[in-house]
Amino acid sequence: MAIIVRLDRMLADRKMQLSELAEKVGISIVNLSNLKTGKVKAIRFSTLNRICRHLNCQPADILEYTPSDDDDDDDDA
Amino acid sequence: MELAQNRIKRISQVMYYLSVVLYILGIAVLILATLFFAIQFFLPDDLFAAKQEHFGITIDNVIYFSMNTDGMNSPVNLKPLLQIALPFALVLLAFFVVGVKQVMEILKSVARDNPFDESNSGRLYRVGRILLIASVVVSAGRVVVYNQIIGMMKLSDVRTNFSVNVTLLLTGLLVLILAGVFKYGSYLKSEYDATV
Repeated sequence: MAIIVRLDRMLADRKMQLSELAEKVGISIVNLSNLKTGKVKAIRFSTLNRICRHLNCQPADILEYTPSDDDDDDDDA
Repeated sequence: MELAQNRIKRISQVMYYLSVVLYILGIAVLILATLFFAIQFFLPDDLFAAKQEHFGITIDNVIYFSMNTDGMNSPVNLKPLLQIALPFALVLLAFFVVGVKQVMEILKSVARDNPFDESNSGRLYRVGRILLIASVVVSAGRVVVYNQIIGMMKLSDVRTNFSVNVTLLLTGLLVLILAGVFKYGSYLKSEYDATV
C-alpha cells in the first residue's frame, strides 16, 4: 500500500496519547491503532474529519502517498 | 432494525439447539445402524422371517393397499431386503449428519451476530453438494429396494422407473447460489471491518 499514515507523527507533535484521541474521535483504540500502523483498508471522511479537527491539522499532515514498486494489489478494487 | 435482528438471533438460537439434538440423534442412529448392518450377516435367517399373511404397501404415502402372501415363499425372509436397503440408508444417514453439522455451525454464527463468517459460505457449499448427490442416491435407493420387493413378491409385469429427486436437486442448486451470496457478503463484511 503506497498510502502511509503519519498519525504517530501528529500525535507526538500535539503531545497526545492514542487513547485520548480515540476517545475524542469516538472510535476504539484497536481501530485507531490499526489506522496508525496502516492495517486498515479504508477510512471514512467522517472519521478523517474528526481526527483532523481534534489534532488541528490537514489530511495531508496525516496521509502521505509514496509510490512503491509492488503497488499492484489495489488495481482489482 | 434492531428488533428484527434480535428476533432473528432468538430464532437462530432455538434452531441451533434443535439442530444439536438432531445431530446427536443422527450420530446415534448412524452408529446403531452400522452396527446392525455388520451384525446381521451373522444372525440366523429365522430372525428376519415375516410370518404375516398380509403385507401393507404404500405408494408415496398416498395410496395404501394390502397384499396377501399367497404365492410367496412363506414365511417371507426380509434379510435380503435389509441387506439391500441398509447401505443406502447408511449413506443417507451420513449425509444427514454431515449436513446437520454444517447447519448447526451456521446457526451458531448467526446467533453470535456473525452471519457472514468466512466459513459459512464453505458450509453452504457442502450442504448444496450433499443435496445434489442425495437427489440421485435417494431415487436410486428407492428403485433398488422396490425392485427387491417386486422380486420377493414374484410380481410379473411390474417395473420401476428411475428419476432424480427434483425437489432435492433444486434445493441443492439454490443452496449453492446462496453459498455464493454468502461468500460475497463475507467479502463485503471484511471490507467494512477494515474501514475506520
